[in-house]
Amino acid sequence: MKKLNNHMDSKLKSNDQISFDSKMHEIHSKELGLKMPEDYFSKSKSDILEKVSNQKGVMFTIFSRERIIWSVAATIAIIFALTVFKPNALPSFDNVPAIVSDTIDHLQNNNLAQGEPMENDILITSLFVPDNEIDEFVDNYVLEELVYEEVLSN
Amino acid sequence: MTNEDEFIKNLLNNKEKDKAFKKLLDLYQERLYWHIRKLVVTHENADDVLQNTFLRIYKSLPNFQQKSSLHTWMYRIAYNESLRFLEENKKKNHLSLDDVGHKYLNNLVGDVFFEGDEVQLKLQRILSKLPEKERQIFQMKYYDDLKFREISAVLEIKEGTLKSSYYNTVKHIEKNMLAVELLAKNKV
Repeated sequence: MKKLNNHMDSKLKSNDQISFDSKMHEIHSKELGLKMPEDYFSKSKSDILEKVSNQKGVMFTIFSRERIIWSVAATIAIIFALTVFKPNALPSFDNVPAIVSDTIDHLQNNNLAQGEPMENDILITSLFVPDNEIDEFVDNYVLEELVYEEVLSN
Repeated sequence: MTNEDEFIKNLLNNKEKDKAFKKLLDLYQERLYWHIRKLVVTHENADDVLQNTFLRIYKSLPNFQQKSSLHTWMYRIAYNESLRFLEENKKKNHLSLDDVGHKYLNNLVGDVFFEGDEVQLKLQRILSKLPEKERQIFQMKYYDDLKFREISAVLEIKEGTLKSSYYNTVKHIEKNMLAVELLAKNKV
């Protein structure tokens, strides 16, 4: 059996990297009989970059959605505060600025307000969720996602 | 500031991130592929896990706190993604721990991208019979050429334990391979 030379001190130098990669390929192929499709790495690289670019789109959408929800919530809070504490300062509904009424329409049409359930709704809903589904959620999300993220952050 | 510090800074900078991530792929794609391939055995599985690994790396970059080197951190992600994949497969196929080694060899032989001859198959058979952790330690040291310090960070096992496991495994493999060569000579 052949041993790879020591090379890892200069990980970011491209010539060393090329030679390291070809040694890796050679040792896996010669000693373990492992092969791969021709031109695999360049195809795989473009697949990964495409997935990453889709992922960025998803992250952007979530971020935008959160911003809309927070803007709408802030608008509602201001209107509510004005209604309770300074009713005279609030324009009649006919005189509500277009941007406020448009935002409320947008919120209703897209059910955005339902994306942020109230605490009581969560409590009531939880009564109807079977225990095994809660366990499954804890296994899949809390353990795998949260703990995993924590481990990786170290 | 070292090359790696500068590189990490670019990865965390929104303007430079995409360019730096491409560079990261060029640097680590092949070595992480081989690391994953030995864990999940077939090329098809390794391809899936490699893609998930780089997606996870991309998503987790903002959380990278540089407590370990970028190199070790990425191996940890690749290792964890491989384990997650194997665990899901085990659940799907209702496999016991004893079945795993047996399945390792079956999967390997059934893979169209395995072209091992008799000696390579024998080495793979010896590896498949090793306890999972010992096999991983041997593969990370011998084939991935990781330092014991790096393996210790990935597997969370003390360096002393890793060293003794590695040397015992090497002796075990040498002894068994020698026996195979003697058998082959006697056949001739």
